[in-house]
Amino acid sequence: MRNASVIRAAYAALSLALQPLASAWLVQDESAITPESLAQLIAFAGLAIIIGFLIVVLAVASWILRVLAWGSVCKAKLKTFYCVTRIIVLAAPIIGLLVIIGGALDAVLRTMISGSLIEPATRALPETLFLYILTGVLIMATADFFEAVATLDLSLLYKVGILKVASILYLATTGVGVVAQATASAGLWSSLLSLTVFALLMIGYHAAANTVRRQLLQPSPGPAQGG
Amino acid sequence: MGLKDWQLVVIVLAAIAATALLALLASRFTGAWTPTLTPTVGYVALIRIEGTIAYGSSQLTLLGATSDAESIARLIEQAAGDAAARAVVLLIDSPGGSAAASEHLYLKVRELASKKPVVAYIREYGASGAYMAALPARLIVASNSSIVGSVGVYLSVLTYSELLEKLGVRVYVFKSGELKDIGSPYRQLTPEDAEVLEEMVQEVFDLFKQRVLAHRKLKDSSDVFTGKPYTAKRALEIGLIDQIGTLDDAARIARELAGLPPDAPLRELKAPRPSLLQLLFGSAQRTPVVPSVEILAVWPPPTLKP
Repeated sequence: MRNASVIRAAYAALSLALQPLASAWLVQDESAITPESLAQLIAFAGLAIIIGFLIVVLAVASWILRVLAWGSVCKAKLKTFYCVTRIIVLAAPIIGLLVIIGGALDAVLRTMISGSLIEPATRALPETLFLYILTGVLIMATADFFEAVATLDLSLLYKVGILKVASILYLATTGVGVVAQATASAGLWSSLLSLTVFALLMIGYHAAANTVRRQLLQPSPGPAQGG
Repeated sequence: MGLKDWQLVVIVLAAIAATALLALLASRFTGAWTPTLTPTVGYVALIRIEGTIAYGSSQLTLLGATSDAESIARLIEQAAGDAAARAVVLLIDSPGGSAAASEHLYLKVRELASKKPVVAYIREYGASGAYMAALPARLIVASNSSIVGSVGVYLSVLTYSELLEKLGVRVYVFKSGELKDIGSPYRQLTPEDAEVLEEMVQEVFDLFKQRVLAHRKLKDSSDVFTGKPYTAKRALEIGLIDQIGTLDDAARIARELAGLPPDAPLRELKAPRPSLLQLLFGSAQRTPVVPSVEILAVWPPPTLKP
């Protein structure tokens, strides 16, 4: 889990780096584009694609590590909740992604049938598209919610203060991230918070691992098991 | 000491529910997903009427590319129902078309003009049925080198009975009455046939004439109803159009009539593209319409060359 946090901190940092690139792309006024600025924009786009690809690779790697880590915790038979967390961490991102892909397909079909994604009556994007994306994001975030609460429980179990703080922040950041997506804003703040949280989690998991190691070396009554 | 399983599940569910609620409220409150596309000011809608006016869409008619009257009528309805479309510019470049399709467009434009300002802009041809469609517009603007008018109706009957006879081909027609096969290509026109067809043409023409007289104050109508096409300059002198200008002029006039600022956008309304299924199964390619009844068109479309 510590390694997964390291990777997640790395991709949060990359996401943070992606923000100014996206802003540079979006602020361009079409009429103000010159050959020089176009070359710059293409360079930005290339860089953004590379960073985006790296983010995807890191996200998949951290996802695999998280599934394996919660699998190990599950095998320790401490609590059923950890096993549920493992299943959710495994399945929620896949289901969430499928829902978002479903939304994208719906959008493509709408565009093909009516010629435009914008509804003529309201001159707005269809409500269902928003609901698809929000549902998908929320399902994907469910894995983080479970993980945050399970981490909070671990921090209480092993009495690791920094992990407790990190898990509470993790819970809050996950919520903020979903709201940021729903309002299509605050991407920079969300990435900054994620970077802080994953750095704290990394330290917290490291501290928790040390605590477990110490407890194993000094024979003493282990942590009380929850029901 | 950790928490119990059910307590942990409750915390997760509460966090998810709170987040979902917050996300929905925040999206509604900030309107991040909808208002960016909602125009805050009005705009001028642009609707194109190009090619021969007919029902159905095809690139293969005697008169060249067609404008599907039903598709254009839907765009007119869209403009009428959109409160943000404060005025409409009809971009006309058509030699006319079938009487029924032209009539359909005329009625739709008349309905639209009763709700919001409509300015017709004739780019190259605004003749016959296309001119009829432009009649209810508050103002008709035509480009300097356009052809306007040709107020009239024609009907053509093609017969090839003599050719078939030379080829040794005979067609036997069994009919309930003398006029049942009127206009048939397998026999010569009789004087009685010609009388009936002329009567039909005259009736459609009378309607067209009444409409021109109702909408336009003609200064000189001596040869307007002979079916003569006019250049924009002459059409202005006669009173068939109101102004010679460009599309920009038409858009500017539409903005002024609607009380819109000079920078209000001119947004083209387009017919939806055919869906994948329609393309695959061919329903998008409807039967080519070769007008065979009363036609309000200049045929063949004359071309002005400098």
